[in-house]
Amino acid sequence: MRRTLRIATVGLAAIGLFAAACSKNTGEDPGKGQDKKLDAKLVYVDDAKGPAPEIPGAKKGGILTALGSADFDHFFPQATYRGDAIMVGGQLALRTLTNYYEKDGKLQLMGDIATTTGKQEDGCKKWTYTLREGIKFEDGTPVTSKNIAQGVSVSFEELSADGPQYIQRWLKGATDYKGPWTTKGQLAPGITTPDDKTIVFELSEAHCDFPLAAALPTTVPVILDKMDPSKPDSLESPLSTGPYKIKSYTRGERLEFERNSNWDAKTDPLRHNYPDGFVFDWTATDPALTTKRIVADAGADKTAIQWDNVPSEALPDVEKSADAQKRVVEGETVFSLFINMNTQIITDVDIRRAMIYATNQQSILQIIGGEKAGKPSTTLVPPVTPGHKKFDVYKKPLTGDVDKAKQLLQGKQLKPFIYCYRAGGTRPQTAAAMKEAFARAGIELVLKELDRTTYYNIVGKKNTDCALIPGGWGQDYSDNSTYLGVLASPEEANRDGSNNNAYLDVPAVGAKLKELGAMPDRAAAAPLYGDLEEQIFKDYAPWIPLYYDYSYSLIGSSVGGVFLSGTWGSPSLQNAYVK
Amino acid sequence: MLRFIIKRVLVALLTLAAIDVITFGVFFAVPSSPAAVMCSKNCDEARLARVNAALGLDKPKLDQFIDFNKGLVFGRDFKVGDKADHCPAPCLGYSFRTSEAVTKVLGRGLPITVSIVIGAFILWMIVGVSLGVYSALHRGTFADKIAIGLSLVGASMPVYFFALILLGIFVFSLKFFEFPHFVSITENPLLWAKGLILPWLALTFVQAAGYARYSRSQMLETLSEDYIRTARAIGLPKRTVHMKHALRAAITPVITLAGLDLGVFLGGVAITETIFGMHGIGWQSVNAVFDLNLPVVMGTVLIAAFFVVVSNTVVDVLYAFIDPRVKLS
Repeated sequence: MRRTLRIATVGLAAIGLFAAACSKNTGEDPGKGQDKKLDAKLVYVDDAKGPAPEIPGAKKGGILTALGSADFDHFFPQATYRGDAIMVGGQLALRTLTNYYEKDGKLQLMGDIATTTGKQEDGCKKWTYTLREGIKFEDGTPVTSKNIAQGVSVSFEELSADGPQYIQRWLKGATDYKGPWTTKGQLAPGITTPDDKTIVFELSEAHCDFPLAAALPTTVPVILDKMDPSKPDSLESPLSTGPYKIKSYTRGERLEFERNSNWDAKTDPLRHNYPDGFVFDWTATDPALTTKRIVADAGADKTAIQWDNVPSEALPDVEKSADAQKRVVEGETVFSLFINMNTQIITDVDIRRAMIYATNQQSILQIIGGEKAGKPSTTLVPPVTPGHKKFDVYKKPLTGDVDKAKQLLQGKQLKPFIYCYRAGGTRPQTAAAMKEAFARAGIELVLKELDRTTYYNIVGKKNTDCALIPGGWGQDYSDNSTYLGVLASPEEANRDGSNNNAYLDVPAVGAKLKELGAMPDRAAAAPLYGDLEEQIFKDYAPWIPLYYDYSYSLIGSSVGGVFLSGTWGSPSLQNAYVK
Repeated sequence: MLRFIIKRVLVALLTLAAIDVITFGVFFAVPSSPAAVMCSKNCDEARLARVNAALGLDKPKLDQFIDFNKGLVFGRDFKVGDKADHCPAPCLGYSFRTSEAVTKVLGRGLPITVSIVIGAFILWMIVGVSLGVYSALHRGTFADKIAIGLSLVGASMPVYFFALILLGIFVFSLKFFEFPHFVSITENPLLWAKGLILPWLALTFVQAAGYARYSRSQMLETLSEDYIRTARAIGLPKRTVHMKHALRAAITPVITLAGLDLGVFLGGVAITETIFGMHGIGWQSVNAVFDLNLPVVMGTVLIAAFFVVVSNTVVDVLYAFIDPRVKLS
């Protein structure tokens, strides 16, 4: 999953530019001070029934306002891939076949529109779902299995290309399918709807993590006849099946939700409808000013949630206010930041090991904004993802171990390596810090800044001349198959637009990933991913760990029930209410 | 006079046409492909080609320029799948990032910019000119020195600095106002004005300072004219001399300047809009630049140019009416 754009703009010059902020770094060890650590364990709940359990102290009424600086890329569910957009859609309006419920730091997956997380046959190649009774669209039309089939079919369309691409790739016989608008009404192959309450997915290969992919907005039901693809902006206001529906949406400005009278709490095991509505105000352009507003806690801002992280320049405002400190929403997110070492170019594993030792994580952390923006990492997969294993193969101080790096490089002929990065944000500073750190060990980096429109084309091909490529990744769903399963996959390494930018193309690793991916017991598979990751670090050293992303934002004094969702890396609205 | 007006309008149209050509040229000079911006991360060559075709970007540049200008007059269609999204005239192109007509984007920003600028303009003219005239009439007094001092502070203070001071005092400390928020005047005029007070004050303080200094110097110059001395000598009341004879002459160049300023400001007040979280034309243009949303950049440039050219033309014509010394040739 792409990193959620919970961003901080640096002053006025950075308007609309995605950047992180900077402040001091305490240099603390990973694992320390992570007081709100989310338990990564995922539990499947197959007997979930509505209504969702009441939240103690919660009451009805009021409007909650999220103040953010950048609108969701999409709210058209099948095209949505930004973590916070998926979360907001899923929690307020757009029900999916399965979905998550975060309770006391534990993550549960349960049937949402479906009664259970799914029934598998044929070794995870066939998945059957039965729909709950009484679920309706906001216009009163009952939701049937055909609406889900239509939703999945729409996800094949070019207009949905920005969205997750799992079920589309897995469905049997759907390789050449282009979507119902392109094929004049044909629905996706591999899906059958024997009756209005049953939907069956047939896959070309075993995918035991299907219930997790079914929680992505690919399975949001739609009424195909009411959609007009010639007006793409109309698709951004989808029909609701949840407790709230869209009241108005001005793209880039404001998204308002109001109660949906056609939602029945008895059909929904994971949603509440305490506030009368939610507003997403995207005009809070400068996150530092937004922090000041919420620290001041006056008038309507009492019910506001800061959607961006508190930027480093506004941290003193929070630190000097005892009241504001009580209103901090913080925690680890699903994102981890690292640098890919292109194994096709840097073929000597000792040079890659030396690069890990030469890296100065301290300077990178200072650039991104210190401990409130990230915690130094020693692994690729962050603690939130199931299967995270805490290991440190190349032990070194945060500032690096230059002697060890030099030792590994002894007698080697080094040529300059190209470090490619995308323009904007703090990426140029990070690149400069890497160049400086590597120079200490005698490794020369040539920095190459690339435009956003060409970046992925250039770094996404196996024959790229980029030797070092910064990476940031978050799970698409709570399973390491969408983390290590992507970033270490040989298939991914050989695909144009690859995300395996270390181009680690090892058949043995690929075979192991396939074996783990096909394990029906995902809880048993999780620790094996951790072991594999550690082994990859030992044998191939393809990544330089930098930091695990950390989220730190504020809420007004009248906001209740909001916590940092480890799954989505944003303030969760699942239990939100107005005090 | 009619010939003069027609001539000025023709010059204005020619200027707009030149700006049209230049901005279109810049559109292609920028090393960025609009189709690549629109195409997702999973973009491949085939998809890129389809997006290019849908947007008409695969056609020769001249054809694209003709299509763009046809769209300005007649509107045009943008192909999405096998259907077309119609962009009515005056079509300024299509925002690839948000899948909507540029005119729709600008339609959201324009009321905000106009609300900020017109309100602030009225305030800064009243405050600036009054202060300048008062200073001139009380030249050398303590009040004059205070007024000059204040206008010096205002003229030398950047708007972002004063805007942040206003927010710090009235919103974050005294909590006298809520953070500014734009409400349409048609929805609620009271909330409209309430939400705009701080942006108005910020622009007024900075702009009024310049106008105070300019009107003061104009007024002083006029007061030293022979006809004013004559008017005083023949015993006309002071008030009549100052307000009827001196002010009328002194205000003419001030109005000219105001007209030009108004045109420039209507093209967007990016810094003020950004600080107060109002997505007017100025904010939209800056955001579009960072977003590589070239059609919106073109749209904001054209609309800003339109305001400047129109205000220049109006001022030219008005000046000819006000000041008979201006030749109509």
